[in-house]
Amino acid sequence: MSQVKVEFHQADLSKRKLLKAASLGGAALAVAPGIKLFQAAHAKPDGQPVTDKNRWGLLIDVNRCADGCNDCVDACQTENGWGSGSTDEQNSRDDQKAQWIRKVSVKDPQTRREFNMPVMCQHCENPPCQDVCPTGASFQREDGISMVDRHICIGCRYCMMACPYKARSFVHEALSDQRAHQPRGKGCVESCTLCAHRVDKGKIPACVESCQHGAMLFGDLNDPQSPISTKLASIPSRQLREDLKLNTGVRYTGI
Amino acid sequence: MNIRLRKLLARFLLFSVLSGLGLMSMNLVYAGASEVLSGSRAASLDSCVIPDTDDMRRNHMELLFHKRDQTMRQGIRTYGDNEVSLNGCIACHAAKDDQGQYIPVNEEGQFCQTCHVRVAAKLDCFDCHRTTPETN
Ligand code: SF4
Ligand code: SF4
Repeated sequence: MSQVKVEFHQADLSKRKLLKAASLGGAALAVAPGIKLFQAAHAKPDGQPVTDKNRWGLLIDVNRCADGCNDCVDACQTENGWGSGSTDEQNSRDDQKAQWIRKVSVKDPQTRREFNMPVMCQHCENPPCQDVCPTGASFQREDGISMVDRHICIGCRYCMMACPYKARSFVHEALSDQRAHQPRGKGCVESCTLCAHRVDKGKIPACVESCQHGAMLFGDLNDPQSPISTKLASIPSRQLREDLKLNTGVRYTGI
Repeated sequence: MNIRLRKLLARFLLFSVLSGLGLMSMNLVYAGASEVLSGSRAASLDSCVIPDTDDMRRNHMELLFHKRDQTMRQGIRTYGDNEVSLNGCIACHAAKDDQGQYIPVNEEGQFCQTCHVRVAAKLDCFDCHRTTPETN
């Protein structure tokens, strides 16, 4: 296969249009059939803090992500208690409601190739959300997971504006139907936590577990032996908006 | 002694006596009534995860702050029957209604709300945290 230098060529698009319009001049590569993108996380010892020994990440194979399938989004809603996973947010407009993960459809206008992929918080190593947060509520765990500390979030929504991936949501109304492990509430911003509550128990994120097409692989980017690292070392992969040099923890192959 | 100083002293004394009385009556209430509700799991146990109930009454917020930062920032989660966390508190202290459904801990007369109303401290926790044990 010829080596193709791929570059995003729509850096001038506004970030909101970007994800819809991304036409990526890249070679589409399929992961060899029969390779299941799946890895169990390593449980950290109980009672120990997370460390920067790990950096958790995802590899999403766009060629496997099935048209019309919404399993990862559904699983996230159930797991984290938003959208269909909750009876709350009845008074919010659809565009106000929380959206931690979404299926994004992409069409390359030049080749007319169409594909779709799940997009969530990309767990940037250099997160713009954290740069702009005036309170320190946007933070990163040692293991690279980006989160919002709702106890000190003032709801200014700077992070929502700063995030190039539209990954964050603001809760507009009082809630009462939260999951016990996932507090959520009015006046705070929230986003994908990479299922930190599951990862801390040695489980993989709910979206990855739910994907029947093997399109998502979760694992430790810092461990060169981990399935995700060996996969990343052997096939081409991309960051969304890699021009921003955020070093995202979520990577895509096939775009 | 000048008259203004005397007045000031008198006011201070009055204030001390009154606030002393207030604190005493609060302690009396604390000592007299039990916030542990019949029907909650806590009612069937000898003591809290912190055996010194007075200590728990005065300092539970410090413990919760400490635990929240550990859980959220460091990913230290505790599980099991004696879960030491806000979820653990709720699992143990939530009472059930006649239909056997859990009553939110921040409702009138329930475990958290009873004292918080008395001391006029707003219960912010439940703007975000679930108020009943999760059954499913
Ligand atoms: S994707 Fe957005 S919310 Fe997630 S770390 Fe990056 S800037 Fe922050
Ligand atoms: S909305 Fe909250 S997390 Fe986002 S920038 Fe403002 S204070 Fe920080």
